Amino acid sequence: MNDYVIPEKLRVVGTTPIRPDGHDKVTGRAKFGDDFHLPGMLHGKVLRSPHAHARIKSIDTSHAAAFPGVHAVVTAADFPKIASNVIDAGESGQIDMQDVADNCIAREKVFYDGHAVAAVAADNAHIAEEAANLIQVAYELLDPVMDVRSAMADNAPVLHDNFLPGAFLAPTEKALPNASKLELAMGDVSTGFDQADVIIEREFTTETVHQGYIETHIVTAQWGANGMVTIWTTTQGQFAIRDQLALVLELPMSAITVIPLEIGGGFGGKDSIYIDPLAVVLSKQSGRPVKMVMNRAETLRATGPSSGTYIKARLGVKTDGTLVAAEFHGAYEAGAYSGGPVAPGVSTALTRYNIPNVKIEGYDVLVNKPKVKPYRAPGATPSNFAVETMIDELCRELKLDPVEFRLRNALTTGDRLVLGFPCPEIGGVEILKAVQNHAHYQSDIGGPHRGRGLAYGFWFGAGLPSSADLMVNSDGTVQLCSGSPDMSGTRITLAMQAAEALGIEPSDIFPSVGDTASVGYSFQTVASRTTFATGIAVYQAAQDILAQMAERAALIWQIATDNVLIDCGRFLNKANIQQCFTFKELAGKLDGTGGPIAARALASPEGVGFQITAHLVDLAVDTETGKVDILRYTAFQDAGKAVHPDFVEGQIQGGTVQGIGWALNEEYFYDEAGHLKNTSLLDYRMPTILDVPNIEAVILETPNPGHPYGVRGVGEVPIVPPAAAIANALYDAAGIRMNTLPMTPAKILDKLNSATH
Amino acid sequence: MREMTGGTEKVAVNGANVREVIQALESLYPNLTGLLIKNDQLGKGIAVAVDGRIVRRGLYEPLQSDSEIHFIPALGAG
Repeated sequence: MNDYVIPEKLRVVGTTPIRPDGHDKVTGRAKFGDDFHLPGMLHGKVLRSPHAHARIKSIDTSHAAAFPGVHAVVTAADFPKIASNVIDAGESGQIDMQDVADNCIAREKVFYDGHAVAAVAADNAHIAEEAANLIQVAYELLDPVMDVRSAMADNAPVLHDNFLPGAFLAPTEKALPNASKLELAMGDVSTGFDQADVIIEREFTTETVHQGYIETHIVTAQWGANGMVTIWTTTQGQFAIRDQLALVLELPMSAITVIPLEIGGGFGGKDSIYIDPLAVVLSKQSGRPVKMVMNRAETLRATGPSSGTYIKARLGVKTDGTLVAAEFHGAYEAGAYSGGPVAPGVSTALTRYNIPNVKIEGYDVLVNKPKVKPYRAPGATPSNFAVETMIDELCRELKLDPVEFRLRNALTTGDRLVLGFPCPEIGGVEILKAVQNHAHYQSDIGGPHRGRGLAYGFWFGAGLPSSADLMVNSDGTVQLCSGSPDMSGTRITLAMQAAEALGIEPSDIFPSVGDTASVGYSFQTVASRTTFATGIAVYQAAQDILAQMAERAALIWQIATDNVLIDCGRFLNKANIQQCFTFKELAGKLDGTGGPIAARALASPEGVGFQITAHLVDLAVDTETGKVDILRYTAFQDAGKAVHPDFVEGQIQGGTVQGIGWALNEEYFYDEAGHLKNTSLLDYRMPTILDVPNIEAVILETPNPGHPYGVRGVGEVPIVPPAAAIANALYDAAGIRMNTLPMTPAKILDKLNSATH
Repeated sequence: MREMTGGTEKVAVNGANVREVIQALESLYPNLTGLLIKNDQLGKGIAVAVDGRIVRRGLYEPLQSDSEIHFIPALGAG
């Protein structure tokens, strides 16, 4: 595939028009999941397991079914028992649909506290909840296994009797009871460590965290009289929901229409079905539409968080600061079913440095927690925390400037990745030099117990399929419909790319998000891909529109189409440039020259621009309480080309705040029996506006030649370095080296006390 | 794959597309096809990079005479 020739000057891309959906969202008019209602609609509730690991002996639904106001009760027996069927779920890696079905409603065993066992549809949610509690389930309790090291121990309880350890390329020998293994290597680490002057080896642990989207999972399902199913839901991917439902319910994909509503946050966590098939079967049984709303506790207990981890790493460096060898061992929780973020987590652990000798082992480990789901650069935050704090330690030991050290070792265009192939265009050196030259880096930190930390982060991103439809109206305005849910302002970033290509204004384009029956297939809004990949589909559709418009101009002028010059929204006769139509003028002539014009493009772009970033943080630590106050935060990131710089800044700030929460506060608390104890946002402590200062975003632009305007994804990498940057600043402030997340006041105080005794 | 190749990092073979390359590798390293191809497709969890780009056409990806290909784990994202 050839690279695009990126225009030197862009007219629309890089500006900051008002987003068309903004007004409705801030005034409450936009329709989110819970704003949707249908006449005669019932309300569904789920009975969930109170046990982390148990065999289901029997389920008695008779009392619930007889409860006044109840219209349907379902258990796993009401769903098809599907065969193992591994599909490529893109952002979720490879998932077995049998596991997905079992995760939606337990069949033989429950695998985590909160696992769905049965569901009820009733006149209202209160009746449904009361009736669900009348369902009697007999369990045979089994020992739970709650962390990766316990799960990999020889005598660990086995979650799935038929578990076949998967691995890259091949099933491995069953060396570990609940884990699959992945290995990557480059060079010879033994030789590399022999060349090193300084070698350090460290261990790290991080806890399970949740994406923390404010809108929970909400779905309304209607089983039509003709057997056609309609779903209204809040999701990152209407096609993924449709396809997964079809496979789990053994229905034709064409029999299901999924209509995406607005989405109140997803961050990777809204890519899969949970209550959706329950609502569909409840609707089928009751003959009425059924709405199901997960509350916060259900969302925390039973939707996919991100993995807790155990990491052991070893770095070897020469006294001049050249990294010569690295070993990285990362065990990632998969949750109750295999398939966590181990591959991207370990693959990005060292990728941003050019290290000749590398050995990486990753383990995907089953534990009695909910099946993990992607969370913004899945797997990369823990691995970055480990490696970047070790880099900081090496810099201090060798008395080297942390930016200079990273510049010495920075991955540059053409260097070999640990995956083997050469790195495409990347602006890492530019990022690090921007840090070096920034006023923040050059300022005095000032004051006691204050410190500064730097961390450098990387993320791959993805392309994957996207579609876009464009239709020209007779007044010169344009309808744009894509299959990509808008999580971050992508309606306007797509409209801007269409406007740039067509030579018209963004305000003349009306962007919308289509349902599965009205627009071409699109992969989920994940992997920082929508502005990039769907943007390319929009660009291609726009080229088709321009070609069709040129044909109409040629028809009117009775010339060959080749003789029509297209120049920034104008169509000119090359032989007589006095003959000229604006886009609007020509649109007004479509009816009389053959009718309306529309175009559809399906793109699966491969020229993904990698994401690179550096975060710089100043903080103060209270040595009596262990509390950390962040004083100043600057995030440097390469956007390729920032289509809408305000939204790039928003992505950087949002991801950073989530990274700060991961660093300092957020964690799942389970008791020894595997019960989740912090099931509200009072106890699952995410940062608020009071916890974070203004985050300054410094946007750099190293164009990605794989996109017509040079765009890279931007949404994921900001969550990667905050934990390491904060840990490094803590060392600078108080001389304590943290090796566990979250770095709570209690843990910091323990370290401080240990350091002084 | 290193184990299968006895530690060799680079192998040069002929092939007009990824499938033909795998077939050519099979003669050097028996059983490789079974690892890389499942149900007549590139196996789940495996991606292929051709000349520095992770490509979408799997076994059918056309190659140049000097193309460099890598079999890598499929990477997810959020």
